[in-house]
Amino acid sequence: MSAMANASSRTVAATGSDVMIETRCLTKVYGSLVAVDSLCMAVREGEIHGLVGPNGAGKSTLLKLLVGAIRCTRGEGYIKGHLIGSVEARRVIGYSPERPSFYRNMTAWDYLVHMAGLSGMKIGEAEDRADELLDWLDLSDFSDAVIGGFSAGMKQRLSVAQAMAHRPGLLILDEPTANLDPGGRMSLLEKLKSLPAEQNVTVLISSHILSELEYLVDTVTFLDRGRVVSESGVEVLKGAMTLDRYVLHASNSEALAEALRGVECVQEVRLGSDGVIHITSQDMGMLQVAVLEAVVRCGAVVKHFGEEQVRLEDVYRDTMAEERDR
Amino acid sequence: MGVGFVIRKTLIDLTSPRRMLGLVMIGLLVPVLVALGWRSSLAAGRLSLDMETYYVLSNFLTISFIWVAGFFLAFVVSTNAAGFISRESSDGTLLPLVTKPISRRRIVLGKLAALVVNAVLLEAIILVLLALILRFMLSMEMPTFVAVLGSIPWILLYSLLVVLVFGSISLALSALIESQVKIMVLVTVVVLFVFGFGLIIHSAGLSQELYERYHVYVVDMSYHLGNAFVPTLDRASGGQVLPASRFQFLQALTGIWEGEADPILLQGIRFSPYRWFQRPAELANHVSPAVSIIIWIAVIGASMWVGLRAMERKDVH
Repeated sequence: MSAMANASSRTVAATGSDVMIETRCLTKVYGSLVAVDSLCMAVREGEIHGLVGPNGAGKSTLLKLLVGAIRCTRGEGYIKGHLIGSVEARRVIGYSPERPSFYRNMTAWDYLVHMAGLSGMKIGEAEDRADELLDWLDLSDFSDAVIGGFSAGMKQRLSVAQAMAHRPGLLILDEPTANLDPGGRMSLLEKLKSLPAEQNVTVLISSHILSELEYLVDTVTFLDRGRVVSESGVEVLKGAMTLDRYVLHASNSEALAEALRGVECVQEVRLGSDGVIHITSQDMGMLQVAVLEAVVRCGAVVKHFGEEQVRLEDVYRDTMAEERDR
Repeated sequence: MGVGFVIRKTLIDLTSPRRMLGLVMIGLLVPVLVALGWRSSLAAGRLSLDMETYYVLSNFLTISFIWVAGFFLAFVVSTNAAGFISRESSDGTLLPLVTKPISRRRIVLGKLAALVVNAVLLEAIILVLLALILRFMLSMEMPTFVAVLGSIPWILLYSLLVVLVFGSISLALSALIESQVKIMVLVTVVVLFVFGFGLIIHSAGLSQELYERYHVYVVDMSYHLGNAFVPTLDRASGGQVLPASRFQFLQALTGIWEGEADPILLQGIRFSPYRWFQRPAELANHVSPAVSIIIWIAVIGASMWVGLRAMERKDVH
């Protein structure tokens, strides 16, 4: 992106026509800190893609690089084939920052008209769009209210509205549900979830709330120390983790776990604090027999036995633990 | 296309009635106070109509150069422009702005355009009001009043140069530096340096002879500012030749005339007759006014280039 401004009109074809975001060795260095480290990733059009990582992983820096707010130190990135930072790339993007700031004395409606106008809309079109967005985000009652008096949640919704002002094809959201109450959070998530199908919008979203992401995203990238740790479909990741992992919920769980530890087909047995036994085995048939024998021997009553149901949170925890162990 | 919205928003911010009223009051305050002195001189002088016109017009032009289109305008423009980028950056409102499909160059140029429109409008209001106030304060004859009004478009034209010079320098500083305090200190230094260069170097002991021999006037920004005002002086008088001797203050600040040392002012002073002890007679013409204007245009161009480049390379958080 070093030649970002000069190459504003340059269009470079990315690897595939359906690729919305592509980065190649994207790097951002602040003094001795490498915030984003040779990052390569791709997001396909029509996807909702999640960005997950601990604080300081480089998520917000990556988003700012993609929207052209900051310049990369090395590497390159493309938005629908346009060099990141170029006006063409920004025409595709709508961005809502982590901590949105506004002109405090402006009304919500004036602000949206201003942001739509900046994006190239004519005044009449910008005004119609402002009405539409305020309605979409349930802010119509506050259209003439000064933003300075808005609650944090209302500001967050207004920030998403300004990101949508010019009907972008890609919505980049940094912690969009922070500060929202549970109702507002669910409402926004549902609206975002419907965007790819209803408005052909691709969404890249960064969030710490993994349960929300699990509900929302199709694919996810785990980031740590500026690098991609894992990038795949959510179901693929969960499926890979589910493989060979089983749970046994029964009475007398301590004795049962102990009995299973010596069995040949069982690789690992872990007793959770909730009394659930987590078992790793590559032979489901043998495991069923072993569990049956152990249950009879211990005189336990089985409540549930089956494949482990993995949450995105589990995938994240395990992936990050593996990364740290490396 | 979006640049119109940048201009619109910036103009709305700059032209709030309360703010404009305050600036008009400050802009008028100094000239009106100074004009109290003119009133007593006029009353004592019993001047002919021509002499009254010379007197009022030359004083009007002098106060316009020094204050209305001088220090006052430079500070107003500089303080406005200084916050354009840095304040938006520190407030966090720049981030959503730079992610919209409008080039950063257009954002800066849009803000500068709004600044120019606002400053020229402010100047026009102050100059017209000042002319009206002087008309009644000094009991001006109609031909004198018409001559004063006729000078206003030329002063506004010169003001455009001042606005662009200080606006572009301050915008460049605003794009380069985050701290608004640092920017304001630097802006103050720049304004004082430009207006006071001649006074500073002569106070430091540089004689008129050395000033000319070593072509110090080439870097004397106050001289170039005064020299760029010369066409305004010529045109603003409506074809009449105003006596140079009437511009003692302008000479002290800019040194655009040559003249004999003033024996009255020099009484008791032992060192060389620097320019503020000279009675201005004819233009020094170290360089032509066109050259001075070109130098200022070059300063504007260089400042804009630095400002636009800094803005394009700026990391916005």
